[in-house]
Amino acid sequence: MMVLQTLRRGPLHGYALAQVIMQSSGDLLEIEEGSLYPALQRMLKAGWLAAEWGVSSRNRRVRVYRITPAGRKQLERQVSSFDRMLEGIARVMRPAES
Amino acid sequence: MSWLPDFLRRGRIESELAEEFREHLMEKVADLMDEGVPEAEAHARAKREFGNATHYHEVSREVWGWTWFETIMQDVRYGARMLRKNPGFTAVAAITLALGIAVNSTIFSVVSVLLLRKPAAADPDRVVALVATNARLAVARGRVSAADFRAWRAANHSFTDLAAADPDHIFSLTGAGDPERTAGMRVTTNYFDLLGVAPFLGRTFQPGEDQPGRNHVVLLSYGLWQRRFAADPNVAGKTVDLDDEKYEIIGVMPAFFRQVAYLARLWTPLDLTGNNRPGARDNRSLIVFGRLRPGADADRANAEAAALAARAEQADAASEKGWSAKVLTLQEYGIQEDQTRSAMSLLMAAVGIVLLIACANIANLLLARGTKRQQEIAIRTALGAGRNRVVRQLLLESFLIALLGASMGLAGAYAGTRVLRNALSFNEYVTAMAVTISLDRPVLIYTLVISIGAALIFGLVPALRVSAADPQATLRQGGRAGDLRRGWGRNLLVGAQIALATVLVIGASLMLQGAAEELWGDFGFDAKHVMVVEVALTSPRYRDPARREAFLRGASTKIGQLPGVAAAGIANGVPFNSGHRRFSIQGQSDLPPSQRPRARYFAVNPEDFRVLNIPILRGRVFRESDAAGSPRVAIVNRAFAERFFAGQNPLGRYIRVEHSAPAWSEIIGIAGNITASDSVRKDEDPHMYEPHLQAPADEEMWMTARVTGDPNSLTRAVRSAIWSVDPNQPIGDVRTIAGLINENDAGEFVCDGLLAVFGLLALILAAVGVYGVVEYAVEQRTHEIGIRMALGGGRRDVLPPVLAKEVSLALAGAALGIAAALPLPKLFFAMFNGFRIQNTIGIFLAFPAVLLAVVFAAVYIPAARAARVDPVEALRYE
Repeated sequence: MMVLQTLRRGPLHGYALAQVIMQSSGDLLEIEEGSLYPALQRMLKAGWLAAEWGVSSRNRRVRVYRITPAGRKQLERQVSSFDRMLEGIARVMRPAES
Repeated sequence: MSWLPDFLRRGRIESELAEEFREHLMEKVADLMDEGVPEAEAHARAKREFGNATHYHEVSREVWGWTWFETIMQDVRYGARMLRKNPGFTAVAAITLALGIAVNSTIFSVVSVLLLRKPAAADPDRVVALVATNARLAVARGRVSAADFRAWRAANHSFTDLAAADPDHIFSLTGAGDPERTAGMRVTTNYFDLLGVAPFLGRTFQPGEDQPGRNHVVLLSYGLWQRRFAADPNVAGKTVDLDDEKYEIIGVMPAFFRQVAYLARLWTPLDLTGNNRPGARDNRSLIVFGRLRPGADADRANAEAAALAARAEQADAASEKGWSAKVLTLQEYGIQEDQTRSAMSLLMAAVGIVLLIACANIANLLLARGTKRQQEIAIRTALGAGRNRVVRQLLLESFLIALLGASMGLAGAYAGTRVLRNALSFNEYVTAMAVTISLDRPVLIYTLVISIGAALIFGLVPALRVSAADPQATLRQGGRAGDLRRGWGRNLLVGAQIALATVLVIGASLMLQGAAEELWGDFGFDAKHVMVVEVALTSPRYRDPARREAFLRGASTKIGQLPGVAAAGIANGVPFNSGHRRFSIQGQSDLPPSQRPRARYFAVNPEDFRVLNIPILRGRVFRESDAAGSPRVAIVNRAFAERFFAGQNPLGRYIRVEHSAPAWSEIIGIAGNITASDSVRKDEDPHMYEPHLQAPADEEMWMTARVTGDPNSLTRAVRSAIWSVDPNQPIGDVRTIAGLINENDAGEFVCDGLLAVFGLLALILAAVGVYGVVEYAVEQRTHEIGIRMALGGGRRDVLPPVLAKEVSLALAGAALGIAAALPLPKLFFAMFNGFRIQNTIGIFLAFPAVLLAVVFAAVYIPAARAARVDPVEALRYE
């Protein structure tokens, strides 16, 4: 979900993706770099992502991932169910108001 | 199959992934170096933080889901290598399986033709046969009267149309070529349209062509057209003589048009107008076909058929009481009429047993080999192969064996279908079916299914047992431990094998014995030396009784003069081709016509008793003087006297046989019983005889002759003798009554022959299997035998314990098999019309004894060989 959310802002290559996720979470979430790739492969296979070869800011040949329309839909689904879950957790955790 | 393109370019995907990892690291290194980390440390840190690249690589690969495929390919390659390394084992297993599969696929190729193939009709599932049923008379597929057919055709709502066929007429075909008698069918003019089959040449019948004056038109079968008309493409419009009347040929039906359940070489229009006579309702001679209306289903049609029959029952209770009707699909009707289902299920059961025995053999081989392979498997397990992987590996090897066996089996089945085609050529109807036997798609699918099934059957138990062994124990003890032969698996397999073989061998022997008793049984006459030939006196010139009599007498005399003929007779029917008539006995209560008793009826000349060697037990035989003008006389057989005159003397009493001119006849003689049908024993089959000169003229007459020499050498002479009296007289085949029986029952004999082959095969396979297992077991005990011998045991002390276990296993299996086979005679009796058997005890004891002898030999030979081994030699392995 985080990967999809991050890629919605624009295409990125693997290393950059890991950096962006880490930074945007305020270093709270440290993503294990290597384990990112199996996840990316899974999403490629599911068709949520597309990949093509591009050039990084350092002029290296890298694979750039881009979210597909199917990926957007999946993200929306996940976000809404995640929101519901959060809401549920919040209600449970909140002291009884009634 | 979305994974397939991914799979095919998996090499590229993987190299791209590797490159991506590399770039990731390089980016990271560059970042770190920007932060001022020295290059060498940057590399190390990047790698450390990235983690195990190979692991991520593998996880990524698994995402794409082809690893399972690759490991299976590895297992396949490994399995193929193992099989190649053991060519002996592989060959034995594959050949054993190939035998089992070959017989299965061969028999299934016949099943495919007889039970699976759709009849020749457009949209065949919508075509049904309407049959009459009568629970009290045990009629399941009765024919229908013309009156019922007309009423049903007018009143029904389930069918677009109904058509009727009368399949019983034998036509006299004269004109160019030898005069012949040929089976034909008279059909309503809409018959071919209803079936939806177009002619090969010309046209089919048009409405109105059943009316007198227009109805002399005929359609030929493809075979008749080829044979008698030399495949003349301009045959339509020519004329042919049928029953001495001119018919115009209007077309030829295609070769594939095989009439369901009946052989027909030609078709003429069926005229139903003559069936309005009173009493015609009792004449149920028509097969009625219907095509279901769109939207109507079989249930509805069934309900309507019953309702129509009920209406007829109300309208005419005298003839219709107890009769109902139902529909059967054309295919089902054909199968039931051909009565092939029982034979096919029996044969399929037999080949199924052969395959099971083959599977048991292979399973035993695998178990034995598994013992030798335990070390290898223990090492694989110790190196981290999971049990699933080991089982999968072993099963894959089984599938490879199955694949090998299946391809060899198909080659064998191809040969088998050729053999069957030749065996199934005893009459035209069967031949037409047999030429279509081939390895068609259902057969190939069936072969695939049984091969996979067989692989699971013979592969699963050994795989589970071999893989369950504890690798530690195996590795610790070296090669000699891990004994798999002691186990329920092997005992079960051997016992089941012997039980199955016993059942099959007994079953096959019972069928053979039944056939033998039928064929070589005591008929009361010598079936192999009584020749019969049918002559049809359909020609108008034989409506004159004097000319008719002159011809019959002339032909019979000529035949009687032939060298090698001991006696020649005249009859309206012969054993294994005769009919029944109802009769009344004077002085006994007179029953309504439909409840009068029936007996087999023959109208014969005096000589016919000499031909068949029928003894006259009391009274006298017919004389030439028992002719049209003289007092009417009759002879009954002993079974008749016993059943209908219980205790009284029939001589001098009067019976009245129902036919066109019923009159009382005095019983002047009692004849001995003869067998005249394969479904009734001769002491239970009442016969009555009248002089043919006092009986109404029958169109169908038979010339009979008792011959002394080789009957085949006389065929031509008999035909010439008849044609010397009337060159235009059509005659049927000249053959012995044994030949007649064979033509009726050849299908059964083929079935029995096949069963015998399968029984033998089962016996051999079981013996080979038992031999192999025992030999292996004894081989494993060589060491033990050696010790016993070294300790001073003689062969007599050493062998019995080895033998005892195997022999008791065999005894248990055989006992189980005999118990399972006990209901077979009853089952066969229920399955096969006319199956009966006298001596069963011999079979139940003799054949298991043979099997046990084989088992004993299989045990004794390897055990004795082991005992001959020098004890020192046996102990040296220690």
